Amino acid sequence: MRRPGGGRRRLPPPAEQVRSGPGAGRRGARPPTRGGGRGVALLCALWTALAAGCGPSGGESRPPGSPPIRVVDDAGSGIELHAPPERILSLVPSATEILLALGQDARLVGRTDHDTEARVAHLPSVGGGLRPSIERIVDLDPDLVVRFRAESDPATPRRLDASGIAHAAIRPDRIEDIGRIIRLLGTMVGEEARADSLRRATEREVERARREAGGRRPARVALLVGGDPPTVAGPATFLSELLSAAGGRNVFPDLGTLYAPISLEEILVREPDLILAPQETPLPDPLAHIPLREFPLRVLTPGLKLGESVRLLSALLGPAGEG
Amino acid sequence: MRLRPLPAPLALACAGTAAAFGLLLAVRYGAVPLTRAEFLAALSGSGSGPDRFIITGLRAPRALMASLVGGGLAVAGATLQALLRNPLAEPYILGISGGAALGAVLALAGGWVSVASLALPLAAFAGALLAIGLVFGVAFSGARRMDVGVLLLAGVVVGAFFQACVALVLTLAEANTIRSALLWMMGSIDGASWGGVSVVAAYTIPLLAVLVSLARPLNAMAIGEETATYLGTDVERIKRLAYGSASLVAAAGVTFAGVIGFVGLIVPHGVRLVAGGDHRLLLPLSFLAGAAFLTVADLVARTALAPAEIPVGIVTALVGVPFFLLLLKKGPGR
Repeated sequence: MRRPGGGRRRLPPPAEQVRSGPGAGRRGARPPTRGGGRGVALLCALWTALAAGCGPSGGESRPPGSPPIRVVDDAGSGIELHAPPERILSLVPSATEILLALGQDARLVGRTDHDTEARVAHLPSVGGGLRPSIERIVDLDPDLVVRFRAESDPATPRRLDASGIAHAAIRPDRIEDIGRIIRLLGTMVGEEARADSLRRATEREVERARREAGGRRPARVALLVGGDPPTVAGPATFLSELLSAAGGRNVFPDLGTLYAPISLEEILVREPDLILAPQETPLPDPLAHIPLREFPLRVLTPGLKLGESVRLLSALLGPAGEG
Repeated sequence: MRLRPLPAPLALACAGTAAAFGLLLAVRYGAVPLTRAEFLAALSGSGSGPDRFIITGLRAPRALMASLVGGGLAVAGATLQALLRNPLAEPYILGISGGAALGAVLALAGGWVSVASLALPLAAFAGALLAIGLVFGVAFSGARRMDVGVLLLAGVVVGAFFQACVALVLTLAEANTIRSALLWMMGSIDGASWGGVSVVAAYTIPLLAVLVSLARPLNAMAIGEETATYLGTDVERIKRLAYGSASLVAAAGVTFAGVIGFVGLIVPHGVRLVAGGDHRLLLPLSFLAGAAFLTVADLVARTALAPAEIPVGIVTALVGVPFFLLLLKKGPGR
């Protein structure tokens, strides 16, 4: 779904140069999927033809005349792609992780400031996942943008529509969302079989971690996501779901919102066995007698490492949770 | 060293050039560096698709929106300073920003922005209109004349009330809503489109024409309402027109760009220091200077930390306040 005239005239610098040079993320720092002059385009076409069948699969493996790829994203919008996208930009770090696992390394053309995967570090950044730089996105000329379905960022889909760039919204909020997102991304990039296998492996891993965490007295846990004022996570959050999978029990099962500032009295009266909090969360003095276990921020991102996150939380619960 | 007021034609030429140059810079530079050849090709319609879209679809409407909003806020500020005879008056002093912020925060917290793309600006505009109506009603409730002292007090109190409501809604809102609301309240022209520019232009320009037409009576009222009445000015009508038009211009600004502070305060004062206090010159100059100021501030906001953006309200304060203090230090009358 390339826009007309979307081709660039400039050859990208080598990956090493992009990685180390000050121009990384600037114009010209394009991955080597785009051609420069006509001669280069011919060479690229020849290379593509030679490499078909042994490079990353996707568009090349679809026979001519294949029906368009049709999916419905997490925003409920129907997306139709005539071929798997050649230039993908993911604004969601967990989707980037999945795309890499689906062998789409060479098709990713950019990243966000929040991506931690070393394999995308050399790519130009478009800023944050929410409210990214639309200018940078247009300049990268992707065929497909994977974005957050976020009510707080209505401008991004509107402006992607205006620029004619196809985009798919995802919302990785819960453990079960990951399987659906893997399937959605796999379908769009023409890697259904690989996606299915990845989804099953991820779900098996979570189930295994869940079983390993079972059979103990569930620790009563206050999920503190902010210390000043004290703010706790409710039962509908991803963190609470992970806690449950790890064998813990949220002491705020009745919280009506995802997160809420709460009085210290209310935390004390619920008598948690321990407090789980992201690293460097300031703990209010009146809670100092309750054991505090800290977890890295990456745990809060639902992605392929769900099983690892469950095990990590389970290990943190260990002493208090043993029954 | 003191600044002498510039002659009117020279002042207008300088401000016009600054506004035009600001527009050119804002279209020329952005998060994506374009060579001069690429820029000219995109401008002439022969460049690559992405380049053309960056110039005509993203930068141009944003630069024009910044010009209109900046110019409008500056004229509204100059008018309210004359109307209220208070140098601290600015477009948001009468509760408009509080009302707009409450409308916007309610729209964000209620999830309405996902339903319709215009929900956020419409909600902000409705909130601003509510604040204007409330303040206007209070200022008129006691007598058949508008008491500017009561108007000012009512504006401050209504603004404080709406800010408290905003704080209450944010206390109960989700983290995402809080972040979005705070970003909106810091001001941004990020979402500008040609449709938005058309709406703001069609709405703001006639109101600005009304304000500029009030320049002479505002000059008379700057001396005092009694003197202005003796000079044949229909003071009550001028006050209603000036207040209504300036408020509606400010409401348009806050609707499409969030709360951008300092433009309506420092630009008119800066212009007064450079070109004097005659509203016949002050109002058009404020428009041009406000347009140039906000366009360049927005350019800084989107390029300083590219690809990330700084809310433009932060830039207007960081750049504008030291510049304004310098002008105060060297201005006429010191």
